[in-house]
Formats: sequence, structure tokens, C-alpha cells
Amino acid sequence: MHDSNSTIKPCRREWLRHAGESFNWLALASLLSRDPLRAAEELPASETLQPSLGGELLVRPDGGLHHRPRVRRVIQLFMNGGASPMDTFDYKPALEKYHGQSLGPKEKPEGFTAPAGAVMKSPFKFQQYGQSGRWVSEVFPHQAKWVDKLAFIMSMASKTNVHGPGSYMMNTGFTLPGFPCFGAWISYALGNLADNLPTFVVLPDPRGLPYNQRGNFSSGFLPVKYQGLMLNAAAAEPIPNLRPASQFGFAQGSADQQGLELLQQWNESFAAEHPHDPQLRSRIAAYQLAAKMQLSAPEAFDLKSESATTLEQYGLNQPTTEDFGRRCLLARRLVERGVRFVQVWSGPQGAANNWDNHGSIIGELPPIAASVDQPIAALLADLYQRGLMEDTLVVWTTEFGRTPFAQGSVGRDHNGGSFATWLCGAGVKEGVSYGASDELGYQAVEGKAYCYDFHATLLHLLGIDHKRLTFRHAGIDRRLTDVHGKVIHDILV
Amino acid sequence: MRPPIFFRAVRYLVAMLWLLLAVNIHSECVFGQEPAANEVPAENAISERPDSNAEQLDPVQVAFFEDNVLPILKERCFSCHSHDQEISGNLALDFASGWKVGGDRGPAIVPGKPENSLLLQAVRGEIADLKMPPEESLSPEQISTLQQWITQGAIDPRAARAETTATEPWWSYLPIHAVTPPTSDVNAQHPIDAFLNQKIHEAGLTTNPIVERRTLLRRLMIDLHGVVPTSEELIAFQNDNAPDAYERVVDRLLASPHYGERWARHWFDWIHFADTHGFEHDVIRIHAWPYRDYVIQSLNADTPWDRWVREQLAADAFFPNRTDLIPALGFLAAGPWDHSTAATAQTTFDYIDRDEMVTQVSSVLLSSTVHCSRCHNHKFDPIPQSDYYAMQAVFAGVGRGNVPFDRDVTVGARRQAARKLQQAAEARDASQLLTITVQKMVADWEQRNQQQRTQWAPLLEDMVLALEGTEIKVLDDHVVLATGPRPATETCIVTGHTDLSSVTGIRLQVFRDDSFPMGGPGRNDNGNLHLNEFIVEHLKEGSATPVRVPISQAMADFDQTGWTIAHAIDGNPSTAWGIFPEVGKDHTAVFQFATPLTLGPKDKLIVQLRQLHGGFHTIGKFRLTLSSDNNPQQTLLPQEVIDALAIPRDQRSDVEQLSLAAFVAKQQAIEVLNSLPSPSYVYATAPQFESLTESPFYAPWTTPKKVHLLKRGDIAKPADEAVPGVMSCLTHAPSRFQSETIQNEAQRRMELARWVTHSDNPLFWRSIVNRLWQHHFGRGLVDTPNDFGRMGSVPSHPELLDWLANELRDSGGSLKHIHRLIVTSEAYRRSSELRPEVSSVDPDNRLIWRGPSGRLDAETFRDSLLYLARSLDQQTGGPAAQWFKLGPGIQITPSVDYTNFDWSQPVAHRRTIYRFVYRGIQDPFMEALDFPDAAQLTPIRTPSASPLQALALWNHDFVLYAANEIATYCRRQQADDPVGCAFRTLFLREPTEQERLKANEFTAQHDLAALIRVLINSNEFLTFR
Repeated sequence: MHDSNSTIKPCRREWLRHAGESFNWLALASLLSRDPLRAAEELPASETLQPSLGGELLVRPDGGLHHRPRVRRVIQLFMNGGASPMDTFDYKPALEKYHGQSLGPKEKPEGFTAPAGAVMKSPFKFQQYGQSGRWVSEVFPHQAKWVDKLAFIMSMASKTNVHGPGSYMMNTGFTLPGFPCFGAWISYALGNLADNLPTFVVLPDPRGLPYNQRGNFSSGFLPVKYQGLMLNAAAAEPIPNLRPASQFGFAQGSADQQGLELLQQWNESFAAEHPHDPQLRSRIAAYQLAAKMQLSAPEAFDLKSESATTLEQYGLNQPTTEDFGRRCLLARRLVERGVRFVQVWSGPQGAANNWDNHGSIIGELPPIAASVDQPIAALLADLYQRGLMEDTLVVWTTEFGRTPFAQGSVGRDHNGGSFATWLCGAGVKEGVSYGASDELGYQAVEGKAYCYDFHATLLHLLGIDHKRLTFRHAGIDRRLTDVHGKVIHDILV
Repeated sequence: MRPPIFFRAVRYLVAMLWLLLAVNIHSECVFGQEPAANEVPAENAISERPDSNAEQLDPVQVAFFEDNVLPILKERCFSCHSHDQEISGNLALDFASGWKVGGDRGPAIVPGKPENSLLLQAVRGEIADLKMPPEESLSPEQISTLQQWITQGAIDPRAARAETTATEPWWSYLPIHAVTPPTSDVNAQHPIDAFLNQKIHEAGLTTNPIVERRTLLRRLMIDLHGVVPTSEELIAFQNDNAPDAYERVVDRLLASPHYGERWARHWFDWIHFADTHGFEHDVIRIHAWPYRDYVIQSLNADTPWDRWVREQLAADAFFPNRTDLIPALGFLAAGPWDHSTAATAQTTFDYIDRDEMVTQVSSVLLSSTVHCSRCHNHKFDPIPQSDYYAMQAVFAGVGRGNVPFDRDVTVGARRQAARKLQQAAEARDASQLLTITVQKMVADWEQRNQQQRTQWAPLLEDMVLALEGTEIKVLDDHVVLATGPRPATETCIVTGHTDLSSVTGIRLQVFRDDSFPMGGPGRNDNGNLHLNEFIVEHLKEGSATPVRVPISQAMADFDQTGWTIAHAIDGNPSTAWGIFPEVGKDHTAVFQFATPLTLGPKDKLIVQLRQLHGGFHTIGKFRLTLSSDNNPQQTLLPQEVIDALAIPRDQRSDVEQLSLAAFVAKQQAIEVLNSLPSPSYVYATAPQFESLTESPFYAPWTTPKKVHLLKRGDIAKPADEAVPGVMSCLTHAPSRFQSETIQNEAQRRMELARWVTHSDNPLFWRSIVNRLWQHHFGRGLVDTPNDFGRMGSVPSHPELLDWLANELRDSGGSLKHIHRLIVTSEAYRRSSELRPEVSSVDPDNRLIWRGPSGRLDAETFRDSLLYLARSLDQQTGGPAAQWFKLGPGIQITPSVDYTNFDWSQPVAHRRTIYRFVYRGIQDPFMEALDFPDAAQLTPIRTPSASPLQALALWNHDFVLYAANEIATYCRRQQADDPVGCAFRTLFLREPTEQERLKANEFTAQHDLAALIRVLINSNEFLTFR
């Protein structure tokens, strides 16, 4: 016989899934009380919000989920296409020695687009910078000045040599589609810092979406509202649906404002008729927050209040840096106003204008590098100058590296074996480096780190134990870090 | 005396939370080479489960074990010594007790005494027949780590193995019980209520009353049709005083085609159907939609559940004559497809693609997580890794692409027969060609042919020109021979005359010659030729301008694959006729004029042979002849046929008769095939398919590929070849297929389908009734619809679940029967109001004391607005409606622009089920309303309320467009009371006095559409109760 107790089983996942009711309360609670200073007293004492729920999802008064956070907001700079490590941050003098020799794999490895060519030295000059003496190539003269503030992971590796799976992996921890990305996980876990702006904003390259299109910003099996809000930074009104389009004359001006007031009145009386339905209250709250967003968002996206000096520092006065500079500046404005996570993409998918330099490292890398270099340096300076680095983290990432072997004569192929990333800001050691690739920069050999370790480290900084941030999906308590992940404490303060 | 239900619930809750905290459950279930354990510290949920003594262990020692020792064991030992893989020599190392008890040779480790520990001796290679690991020794550092660990006491926090194969049988694998509805509640008229009321009463609770008709009709129509009712529909229902008024509405709604349109959407959520690939290159599948239409039609036809699934897994094999059912095969092709991995990492791709199919079949049809057994045996359910790869092997012969099919089964039958005949002819299959039927066909043909033996007269050449420099010699019998230089391309122009007064066609003979490479007849190194265009012109006596002679058809005795003779008359200079590999032989092509050409005695014919392909694909030796017969093609005969025809029929050998039959059969087959309408296509999973233009590298294969069990799921670690089969924990049929069925691809899928849809497969029948219940009530009796395993929930009403499963099976698989049962129950018709005194005990309505409620989903919201504006297009089926602008993309993914779409276009008025779903570039408006990510199976949508959603509902162009449309309708319909009409339309009621006052005041200042915008956004409209 079946257990007759089974009729009532309000276990954790039921609450999570039971979105119409308790979960929306949770959402409401999140939206209203994400500011840790307000968190404690403003949580509604609803019976549907079980205290044990807090074990997983309710933010502690200090703003973390499991421990005290060092970081409250994150800007991720994503170099789309596989930024070459040995031509940027991973100086490999041995490439000079072996230049022209056939040392690569004899057969085409899975995911390489062509058989490996001969070893190819970097066409760029490297130089040491700062007290840390970090080697940086001439393609990044501006970031080079900041090496004493950066913490490098020089031994990143991917499970794949293919863009699609590789981009999924760096964003979601899995090589297949359908999984929530990092931004969705932290939106789900921590919610926002302010209630008048979105939680997770994506600023793609206006020339086109990255590989996997919007799959990289997906909430996967988490509720759809946790996905990244993709904005066109160049649009007049970057947040969609903020105002009715002008063609709808009946919806403008006072009709808009008075209509919203009427709506709230009628929704209130409807809620009064159905006093025990929490769904109705959370919907009312959503409209109230929408109204707040209408007021706040335009200001957040309006760069007019920025000084000419600032605009110049971000490179908005030069065609090369104008676009990425604008998006970096927007990222700063957004995190400053309480957006939790901003992802800024450099380069669209495809064979040009990105970091996927199959054809020619010397021809294709310098322009894309120049487009981001000065804006990134300006962003760091700006964040420090405004004191935002006290609780902001900036990370520089890509989906995999490139081969030390030539593709064609002067290009490089995909290589999941080794790539570089850096972190900067709250909770991160300054001027350090972790791990190493081999002599050629082909494989990570020392302190090999996957996205799991990278994500675990980011979550740790945000006050989250990556092993305890889970969501039950299809019979598995899924994690951002799958069954892996180790916080890289060596680079943390 | 049991404690009150509330306390039992709390006790359960506490137990569950303890479990969740104590057992950190996860599992890797995704493809890609899993990094080796010493590279990525993978914690194994079971092996890391803390021992109750764990607190007493030295945390430094525990950390040393976990950080240093465990990775070595996982990487180098577990593949032969763990419960998830195999336990060689009876030694398991995935739990402390494993090495403590030891294997066949006794305890593997003596704590504190490395020199006495077998394990250390083995890894050091000190024991001759026990060198471990056998393939490659551990590194000196690894050995010293193990030594250090053992010396320090071999601290190992891993407690006893969790019960992965518990002895007590799990509910979902047990046969479906024969259940009769309880009789405890004499008032329960409906069997479903009998089950539910019993538990409600046991809990000391009471049910909500039956809801009034307005709320009920709204609930029902949203549920069955995905639209809210119009006020007219409500009035009709309210005025129907017959006792069965409600039941008749139910019957009418279920009989309507809109039922299928509504419920197909649930199916597509479950199976992650979309119109594009997803992944890096998100290419459009222009032929995805026939599967969508198939699903809608099948639901409307109430195809029996088991038959429906057999169709979707193997319609081609089960019902070969039903060519119209081929779209069913779209089921297995619904999910994402990775173009780049298919192109550059074929082995990985094959395993991922089959994983997709296994996951879909096990999750959707069986509510099982077989896919969790990719890297190891299932950690919670009795699903060994070999079951997973057995299911992969089922799909080793199928791939995805555009599959041709005939909607008209009579056309399909003719096409199949003609193809079969053509294949028999090409294979010279005597058993099929020397039959009475074919012989009759040959005899008839012979008779016709005798009567119509074409006479050919040479074109008497006046001048032969070669434009690119070939030297031309005209031999006897008007044969033209190319000699001298060999230009890459050539155009040869023959001008000549004839004694014939009427010409119906022209014959081109090309001849072999030893002077050409491979004997020709082409001058390419391989003997091939390419004739790009064959042009005939007529120059009348006295005229200076030749007139083009239209050619209606062409036929050759041999066509190179993809290079048919039709290319020589298609006007496209980049396509051509070729004869490879049939080089070194004579060939013939006949060109039939559209109408007979009348020639005067001094008229000329000018023939151009354009050989533009390049690479010396020029014609070496040829002759042109003319005919005045009515059907000159009849006589395009190969030599062996001419030889056979020269012998009287009764004196021919079987070989001669066979070559004649093969020729005639092929010719007739091609004639039939050419006469049939073009086939339709569906993007589907099948053994035969046409590659997409973007991915020519991905083509069908003939025999099923080999599938190996992959250790740790790693393609670099293949173990035994997998035998096709299914889950071994079910006992209704053998779990591995008989060896005679393994070789044949179609039989593998048929075996799978038979096993899945077996009348005694408990998962198959329970799974679907649970899903139906879920969509009617908002949550399933088992609320983990894709997982009936130990990590899933148990049913709230197991007897009811089984009763419904029996009802479905015993009613012949009628889903509509189950729908009808559910929506006619009292439980479904109850008010959804929350009563605190009951919801405090059962907040989640697990006992179903109240009726369903919720928010309109994305499709219902959209379709309802158009429906109420009377502008919802009632058309069914057809290509997907694109509500975006497509532009050229950077690579093969186009750009997709959802902004500034003109919603007044007819295509925008289609029902949302016909919407084009772009997998990777989703419609932001649909997403705002919680349309799920089609990258993954979505058994349950999660409705949300967010500010961005509120902004979309308030300001999105579509909503404002629809508000205006509804306003137009109200002004037209009830000019005297448009405000009242707005309330009746959207709220199905009159406004209250207060509301009317406010509304009048508002519309005095603003447009009616502005009021309707408010009503659309109100909770009274957006929710159903």
C-alpha cells in the first residue's frame, strides 16, 4: 500500500515551484527587501513564506546567502570567440625557440577546425609591468598599467574546443543548452540591490549576438524572470516597453498615468474581494515596481550627466573605443544604481570583429583588443575613484584559448586546453597570479581551473556556498558548478 | 490514533529538510568529456555523505583525504572498484567499509601500516600478479600521498553506501493496481470525487462549493481552448437550463479543433519543440511545422495514446503504407542540434544527439531519469549505466534532417511501388523482375516499342565549330571527333540540314575512344564530360535570325548522381549532365522538342553543345541524329537491350530477359516518379533524410553505428559495445532486444515502441494521466512529472492515479476520455477561493479541496485578446507565423528583430500555437509571460510576476494594438454603451456602479482603448479563478 501520509508533502521544492502563490511572495519579498539593511524587518510574515525556505534562499542581513559577502555586484567582460592567451597575458618565450616546428597533435583533435600547424610565436612584443612584473603584450597597453590591481588565473581550461558548448560552459557550467547562466543563478539567489532597475543586464555587442545567441543569458530551468535582460545600449530607450510607442496616441500622457492609477485601484478592490490570494498582491507589487522603473531607468541610461573627461577616458570620443566604452560606462552606472550583475560582450559571433582569430593573429587581434583596452582601464579607474570597488567585482573572461600552433600561416585555432582570465575588485588579491600553462601555452598544467572553480570563487565572494545553491530539476538538485568546483582561495584576500 | 495531519506534515517537512541538508544530491548528467577527477575535484554525493562519526574525525585529516587521496581513488581506481562502475575482485573503494572489509584478498588497507596494506603494495607493483592500476602506474607523488594517508591512520569520512537499489520496490515500477473508487462518501457521484473526498474527510476538512457558471466557463475554456469566453458564449451557457448543460459544453469544446491547438502547446513544452536548431548556429528548420500540425491533428482525432506514441517513435516502420504519418517522426527531432559539434567533433556529437533522444523518451514518455546514468549507475533509481547505453543503441541508425513524405497515401503508395521497382531494376533483382506482373509490363512495352521503332537520320553537317580551340575532325557516319589541344571548356556549334520535313527530337550519341583518358567519351582525366547546355536553333531559308527550338524533355541512358540530363536543358549554365562513373562506354541522350518542327528543304538547324564546367570536361566524340517519330525517347536503348530485342522472346536467356526487364522497369518507374507531385518534407528523425543545405557533412548512414558504454561518460574511455534495449527495472518485457532484431535499425525503434507502449508498462500509462491532471489542476498528482523515481515525489493520491491509468488503457487510450472525466468532476468545478482555515492545513491544495486558479499563460493571454476583438484567425495549420523581421546574420544564423512589428498584419492574427519559435532568439514578449526556454524539456511552466512583465503587459505594441481593436469592436457593437461592452467583453459581467462612474469619468477624458488597456492589465482579466 502507498503511504497515506503522501497527500501532504510541502517540502522545499514544492514551494519553489509553486510559483503562483508562495513563490511570488518570495519574489515580492525579494524585490522589496533585497537591500540587506532593510531585509530583516521588511520580510512579510506570511504563513506561505516558511522560515525554513530561508535556509536556501533568503538573504542574510549581511547580504550573503551562506556567509558574509565581499562582493555585492559584478561586471563581467566577455571576450567572445576565444581570446588568445599567448598573444595577450600569457607570455611564452619558448614559442620563439620552437617557432616553425611541428610539435602539435598529429591528428585533428575533436573540435579543432583544422589540423594543427607548426608552432607560431606571438607577433607582439611583451613587456613587464608594475611591481608585480606581470608580462603583458603590446595589444593591451592600458590594462597593462593595472596589473598590480588584477588577480590572474593563468590555468583556465574548457571541456570543449567548440564555441557553442564552450560559451555555454563559461556561462552556465554545462556544455549543453538548457542550464541557467551565472547571472540567472545569482538573480535567483540574491535578487537585486535596488527595486527600480533590473537585476541582471546583458549588453551584447551591437554588431551581433554571441555564439548560442541568447542561450548564454538564459535562466534555463530557473523561472524565466531570472534570465538576463538584453539591452541595446545604443537605443533611445534601452529598457523595452518602458513607454508606449508614439503610434498609440490613446496611451500617452495623462491617459498613461491615470490609467495606471485606475488599474491599481481596481486591482486593490479585486484583491479585497479575494483577500487570501497572495498572487494578487504580488502582481500589484510588480506594477508598482514597474512604475518605479519607468522613473529611474531613463536616468540610469542617460550619459549626459557624465563629464567630458569621463567620456574621453572611456574612449567615447574615438571610433575604435566608442561602443565598448559606452557599454562599460553604462555598466558602471547600472551597478552604481543597484543592478546586481552586468555582462558586457566584446565581439559578435562569426568570423570577424571578435576574438576568434583563425585567419590572422597579427591582423585580427589588435583591432578588437584596442576596442576594449582603454575602456576597461577607464572602468577600473572609475570604479576605484568612486569607491565602488569596495563591493564590486570586475572579471575579464572568454570561452577558451587558442593554439600555440598556427592555423593557416598566421592564425590560431580553438584550444580548450588553456586560457587566461582576471578578476579585480572587492575581496580579490592585487597583483597576483594563479596557475600556469605549459611551456607553449597549450595545456594548463599547474592549478588547472575550470569554469566550476571560477564560478565557485565568484559565488564565494558573493556570500554563496556553490555547493548549497541548488535547484531541483528533473530529479537532480542542480548546481551552477555541477558536481565540481573549488574556491580558488589563493587569489582571495 | 494518528496525529493530526498538520503535525504529520510538519514532521515530514522537518525530515525532508534534514535530508536536503544532509545529503547534498547532485549528479553530472551532461555530455562532454568529464574532466578527470584529479583535475576537477568532483565530489560524489554518496561517497561524501558524512558518517555519523564524521564530527569526531580530525578535520585536517578529513580535508587531506578529500583534497588529495579521494581524487586519486576516483581517477585511477573507481572505474574498476566502485559501485557505480564495477567491483573487480570484490573490492570497492568508494566507501570506507569497502577497503576495510576488502575484496577477495582481504582488507586492502591496514591503517597506520602502509607496508602491510595490500593497496599500497599493489600500486607499488610489489605483488607480481597484482600490479595496479594495470594500464599505467600511479605517479611517485600519488603513491607517496597514499602512503602518507595510510601512515596517518587512513582517515576516511565516507560512510556506508547509500541505498541505491533498495530492496522494497518503488511505487512507480509496480504494476498498475486494479482499483475501484472508494464508497465512503455516499454523496460523491463521480469516481474522481470518491477518491478525493475520502482523503479530504479523513483530514477533517471540507471542500469548496461548486463555482458559479461565469467562473466555471472561463476556467474551462482557458483550460480546453486557451481563450477566455465571449459574453455571448457565457449567456448561451447561462441560459441553458438542461441538467447536462455543462457536460454538453465540455463535449463541444473537446470536439472542436481548438482543443488540439491548445493541448498541443503543452506537448511542445514537454518535448522542447522549436523551429530552429539552437546552439551556436541557430539555423531555421523550415520543415518543422508539419510535425506541429500532426500533433494537433492527432489530439483532435483522439488517436489512442499507445498508438500515438508508436507513430512518433516508428511510424515509418509500423505503418509503411501511411506515408501521411511520417511527420510523427518529428518527435525525436524536436530538441536542439549542434551544427558546429556535428561538423568538427563527430564522435562527441553522435553521443550527444542520441542522449537527446534517450532523455526525451525517458523523461516525457516514462517519467524516468535514465539520462542520469550516462557517467555511472543511477544514484537513486535502479537504472544501471548499461540501460542508458542500451537505449542510446536503439537510436544508432537514425539521424535528423528533412524527411520527404506524401500526404496523399495513394500518391505515397505509387511512389513507394515505383521506388521499389527502380531499386529492383538497378539491383537486377530477378526475384522481383521476372515476375508475371513485370513480365507483362515488358511484353506490353515491347509491343509498343515494336510499333514505334524510331528511325534516326543524321544531321547533315554543313559546318562544325569549336570556339575554344579544339581541333575538329568529321569522320564517316557524321561522327565528330575532338583532337589536338585540350581546352578546359568548350562550346561546339554544329550547323546542318536534313531531308526530313518534320523533326520531333534530336539524339546526341557520345562515343568511347581509346584516344581519350579512360577511354572517354569525355576528355577529362577520368573520362567524364559535362554538358551544361544543349541548345537547338532553327534558321529558316532566307532568314538571318535563328529561332530557338524549345525542348520539352531530355532523357539519357545514364545520369551521373546529381548531374542529370535535365541540367542540360535547364537554362542554368552552372549545372550539367555527366556520366561518371560509367566512363569508357558509349552513351546516348535524346532531346524531345516541345512541338514537332516543320522544316523547309533549305532550312538549317544550329546545335550548340556548351561544355562550360571546366577541368577538361569536354565531349570527345559525338554524333547528332534526328527523328520525326512521335515519341523519339522510346528508343533510347542501351546496347544490351537492343541485343535482347533482336532475339525472339521465347529464345532469350534469363540474363537477356532480365536486362530487358531491368531497363523497362526502371524506365517505367522513373516515368511514374516524374509524374507524381513533389513530396512534402518534415524535419524529423529517420534512417533516411536529406541533409540540410547548411550541413552537407551530416548525411544518413546505412547500418546502425556502434555504441559503447562510456566509462565516466568519457568518449575516450569506451567499454563494451551496448546491446539495444531498455530499462531493466521494469519486468513487463525483456530489457535487451533479441539478437536478430539488433542489426535492423527500424526493428530497434519498433521494439522500443512496443516496450514503451506495452499495456503492462506502468510508467507509460501513469505518466500521461498525471500530466493531463497537472494541466487541468495546475499540479500533478505526482508533482514531478518528469521523475517518478526516488528523487521525485510520490503521488498524493496513488489509487486515483492508478484508477485513471486503468481508465486510459481500458478505454482504448482515449485522452479525451480522461479530460472529460477530470473536468466533469466536482473537484474541478469547485470554487478556488482560499479559505484560511483549510489552507493553513493544506496550503498547496494537495487534497484538492478547492478548484484550480492561476494566471493566463502567454498563449492564452495573446489569443484571448484577439478572440475578444473578434480578429483571431481561425485558420489551422501551415508554415509557422513569423512575428519578427528576418535579416542576414553574420554567419548562418539570421538576425531576428522583434521590434516595431506591425501587429495589424494578417499573419499576426494567427493563434499563438502557429507562432515560429526561435529557440535561441526568443520573442521577448512571450518570455515576459513565462514562455519557457526551448533548449530544455519543460514539464511545468513557472508563472511569475515581475516589473518587466508588468511593463510588457502595459506598454507592448501588441497589447496596445489589441486594446485598440477591442475598443473598435465595442464601439461598433454597442455604440450606446461602449464602457459596458468593455466590461462585458473582458470581465464577463456588468460594471458595478462605482466602476461605471470611474470608467465614464476616465473615458470622458481619454479614449475607450485606454480604458480597455486598464481592463486587460487588471488581475480580474489576467487571472482565472
